[in-house]
Amino acid sequence: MIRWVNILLICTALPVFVSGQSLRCIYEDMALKYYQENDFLKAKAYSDSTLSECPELFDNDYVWHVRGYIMYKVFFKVDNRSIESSAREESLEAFYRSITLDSLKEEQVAESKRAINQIAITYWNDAANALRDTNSFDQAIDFFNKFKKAKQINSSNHDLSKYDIAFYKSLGNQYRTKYNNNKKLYKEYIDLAINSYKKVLEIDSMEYSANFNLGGVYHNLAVDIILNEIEQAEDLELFFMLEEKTIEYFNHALPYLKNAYLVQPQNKQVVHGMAAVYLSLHDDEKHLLYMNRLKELQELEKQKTNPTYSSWDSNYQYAIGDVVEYAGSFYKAVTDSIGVAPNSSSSDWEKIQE
Amino acid sequence: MAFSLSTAFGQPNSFDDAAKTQAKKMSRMVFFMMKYTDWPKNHKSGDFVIGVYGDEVLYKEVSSSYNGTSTGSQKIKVVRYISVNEISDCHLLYIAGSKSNYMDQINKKVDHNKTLLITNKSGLLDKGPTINFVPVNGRMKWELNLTKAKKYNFIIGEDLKRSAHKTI
Repeated sequence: MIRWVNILLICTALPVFVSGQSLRCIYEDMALKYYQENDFLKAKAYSDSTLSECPELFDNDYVWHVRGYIMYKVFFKVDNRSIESSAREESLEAFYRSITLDSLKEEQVAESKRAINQIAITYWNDAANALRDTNSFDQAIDFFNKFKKAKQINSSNHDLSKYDIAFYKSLGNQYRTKYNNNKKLYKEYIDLAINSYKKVLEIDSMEYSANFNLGGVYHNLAVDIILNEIEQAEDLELFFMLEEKTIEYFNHALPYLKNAYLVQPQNKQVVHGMAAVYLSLHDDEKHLLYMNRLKELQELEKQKTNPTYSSWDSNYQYAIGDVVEYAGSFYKAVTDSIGVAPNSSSSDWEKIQE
Repeated sequence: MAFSLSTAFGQPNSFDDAAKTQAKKMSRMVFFMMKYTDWPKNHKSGDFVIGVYGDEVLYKEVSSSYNGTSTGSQKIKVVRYISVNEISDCHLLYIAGSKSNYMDQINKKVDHNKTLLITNKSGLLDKGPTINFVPVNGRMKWELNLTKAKKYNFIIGEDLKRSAHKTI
């Protein structure tokens, strides 16, 4: 009864469009008309009516194609991209139906896929936004799964591993942040962080930051035991038990840090991490090895930021591009020369710095 | 993609404080050595002095944890020695591995009837200390020179003996 009242209301409001057509199936035209007029709510209402009142159009790919656009606009323009809006999912569903019905023109399939990709991007962005704080993990995971679903609709064999890596690294970092905010209250989050990093390593076992962060997590777990529990241990039995736990964690940290070191041997962070773990495992030889390596890297970095140039030597054969220090200034050779003092010939030397 | 997910390595790691963390553990071990050892009766009065030679980080940890606390009826006082010459009357002297070359001088300097020597270097047990810390498979263990302990009337607790990596 209500349905007929609605239809009658629509017919009264829009007599021109009803005239000469089947009452039951003009809704699709109306939906399109209002879409083109940017009245997306009315367009949606007619699209809804099409689906509920015109069963013969239910399997029409174009109807779903149009509905996909309408719902997309409802999401963007009416619901202002609200994450609560259900229009986005309905839009995705409509585009999905439109391309699976198989009879859509190639051009329209391409358009649908472009639109699906746009929707996917909105899910990705919402997942990223949700990961900006430490209270929206479920939401972030939900958006990420929707992002993947949308991407897979576009192409079932689409390789999404790079997105998985980026997402789970970020998720792991945020779980870890939450844990660090209150290690007692949020202790379960460190396991979630570990699992997230491990998901990354299932895809790429040599991924640097997942390896480095896992190494860091295990190292820090051991450190926390030393700082908070060993220091309080009143008897030897407890001391030994706690020490075993720390050794276990330090040993867990080592292979991940080793992997990270293999990938980025010049990275001071991981070299420092290796030195720290070996110190904690009382392997003084290896600790020293990595501390020396760290010093080398620090020295190299210092040289890069503050390069030192040798003083000009009258007996040295200079080549184009050589830089020397002479009388408190720096000169760059613009020709090959020997015995030509930098401040005596601007055609051989260019002053570069006071 | 409009937004990028943060994958920066902004997570805090405790690598910078590794030496300090290990010193906390060693500090607790020094505490256990003190707790499970009985000093000769004539050294059970006055301040209980713990000396640390050659490991500033450990000195700071031992000092912050135990200076001013008590063991039995004795108040603990933690002192740091910069050179062998400075080493004076103390109940427990920890000698860092880096200072083990000075063992002969230290042996001459201390009163073995009063001072329990603890060292931290493999192969040092028969060179003067009663207790020597040694790394074993990533763990820090201790070796006990029970002969020396007996000679100078120190009673080493059963707990320490049982868990010792080696005794002579």
